[in-house]
Amino acid sequence: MLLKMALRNIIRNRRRSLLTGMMMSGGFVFISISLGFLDGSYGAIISLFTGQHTGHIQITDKSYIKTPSLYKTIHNFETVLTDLSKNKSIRALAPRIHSEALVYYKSATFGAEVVGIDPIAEDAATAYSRRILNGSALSETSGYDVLVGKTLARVLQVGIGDDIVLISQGADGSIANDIFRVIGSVGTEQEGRDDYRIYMPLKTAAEFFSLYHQAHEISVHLYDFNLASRISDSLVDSDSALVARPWQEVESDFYRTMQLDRQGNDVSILILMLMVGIGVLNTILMSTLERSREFGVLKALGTHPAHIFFMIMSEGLILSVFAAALGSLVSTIINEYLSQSGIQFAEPVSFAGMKISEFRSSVTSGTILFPSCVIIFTTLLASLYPALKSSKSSVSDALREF
Amino acid sequence: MSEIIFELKNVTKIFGHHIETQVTALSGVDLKISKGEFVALVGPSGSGKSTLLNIMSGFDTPTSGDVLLSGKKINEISGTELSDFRRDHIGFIFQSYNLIPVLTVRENVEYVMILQGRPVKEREEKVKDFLSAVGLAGKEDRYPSELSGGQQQRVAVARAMVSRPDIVIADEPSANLDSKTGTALVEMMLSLNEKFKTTFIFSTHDPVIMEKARRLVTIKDGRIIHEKKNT
Ligand SMILES: Nc1ncnc2c1ncn2[C@@H]1O[C@H](COP(=O)(O)OP(=O)(O)OP(=O)(O)O)[C@@H](O)[C@H]1O
Ligand SMILES: [Mg+2]
Repeated sequence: MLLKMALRNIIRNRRRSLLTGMMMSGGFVFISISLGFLDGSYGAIISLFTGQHTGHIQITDKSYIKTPSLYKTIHNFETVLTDLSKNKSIRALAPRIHSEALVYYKSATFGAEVVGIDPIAEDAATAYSRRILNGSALSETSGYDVLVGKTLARVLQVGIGDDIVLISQGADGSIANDIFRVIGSVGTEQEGRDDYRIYMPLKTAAEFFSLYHQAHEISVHLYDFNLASRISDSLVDSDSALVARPWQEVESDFYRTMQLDRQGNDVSILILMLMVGIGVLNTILMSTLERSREFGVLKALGTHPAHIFFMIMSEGLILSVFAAALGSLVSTIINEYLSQSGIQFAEPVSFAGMKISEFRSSVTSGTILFPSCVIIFTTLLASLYPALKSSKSSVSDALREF
Repeated sequence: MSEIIFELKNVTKIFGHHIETQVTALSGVDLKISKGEFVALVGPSGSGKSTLLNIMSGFDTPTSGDVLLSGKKINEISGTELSDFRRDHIGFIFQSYNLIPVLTVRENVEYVMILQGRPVKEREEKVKDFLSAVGLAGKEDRYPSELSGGQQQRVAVARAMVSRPDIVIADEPSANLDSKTGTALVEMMLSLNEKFKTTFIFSTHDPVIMEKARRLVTIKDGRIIHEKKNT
């Protein structure tokens, strides 16, 4: 009966209910789209950031995390790869060898980071070949070909076809030195990790550093980076020597910067909630004030104050649930559209050393669920005072004739 | 003498907290109402009629004195106990009809019975009985806004009586109606009083309506100054 009355009260004052509902839906859509954009652009930044190097999950030897050294490797990484490749969430796997070497070219000498990569697997994972500024990519048959980071190439003044000498130490204690041919330079427009690196085929690196069937790192790329922290633990046995860490851990500085940025946005959502809340409070207060005589009659007839309270809260609940449903519909359409087409920026925006020139929205359950909770919660909160006030008011005051 | 169902003992009501602004609306009112009586409360404006009826209804508490309905001191109960007591023992008719606009005539009339948890069948029968008693059979599914003032007030009478309360309290039930409709309403109340033996107390300013009452209580400056029985 009370619910029926609540529903009819909403219908009775169609215009006001519509207005309030629109305000709620509007707030919903705004929150949802902002969230969609945030998710979308953070998603873009994360996939860009993790996609180029770290990957979404990094597998290494446990001791490698604290002090990366030549000796702390994944043994028989090929078996690990075969096991991992059965996992359906994984899009690509890139095994790598990391070490340092001194580079000699003519009279110049420089320290460089040497990275051994599987040309095909690496390209599937990080598309490194797209970062080649000039020259060609490594291939299966590359042997002693290398790609040189753009800054290193400039400092040493090496070009395509030049031979460089690398000197380092092998895992077996031997001196590692050999001649390599530069087949290209690698990097992006901005500063980046490629800049002082030398990329060579994994097989060559294994020979050079005497690390047969060993790798320092397996970079795991997922179809959905949001799964990283959830599935990372399942990738390796806890009693094995290996550890799998999600990007949030591996790139903790980057992650923290992003979280800070997000908190700024949470504040704007809070302000919006406050605005919607005040609007809703205003209309509900008005509509209950208008009906104070009615509530007086209901109480005179024997309705418990708690039921009056419940009725007013139900009105808020019904209205906000409808508003959330409408808002979900509208914002899903808008978010879907924006995720397809995106909004181009006039000027690219820099974030964490990356340039973003387009905002794309993303459609997730969060862009519906969160605003729904926010709107319903805000409405109920705003209904609380009018409901309490109306349920507590005295019958004789409400019924007094003027 | 028949059984006394309502009794006010030395009831005083003072409004206001500060001495300078205090208003004594009732002072030392004693009143007994027997079962089946049809009482009119009259007196000039501001004499304390509404205050008295509000205290009898349990809407207001007296500053001092006792209010007994069917042996229960209603000035000493509150909250849901008072709500339930009111629901089960008192019917109300208000000056400005005060039907619930979102409920149909039927729903307005059966509302109290729904609160009481009466079965559907009983509700249906009673609604039918009382709507025909007030001459509104066939208007069950109308909304209050689709009825005239006189019709709405008759629905209110049906609503007040349908749960067979000990007493029906009405503060100026005819004040919003024209004289003819108002008189007709009170005549109808009187016939229902005779038919169902329901006790009535109502206030009025209308001399024609005063004539109809079986008992006339005159109040002035918060005191009962005159009692008269019509026969
Ligand atoms: N809530 C209140 N606060 C202060 N004074 C009040 C209050 N209610 C009534 N009064 C005062 O109590 C006195 C009696 O008022 P009451 O409304 O009972 O008179 P009444 O006989 O019903 O008048 P009317 O015929 O105009 O309806 C008046 O002086 C009025 O001003
Ligand atoms: Mg009055």
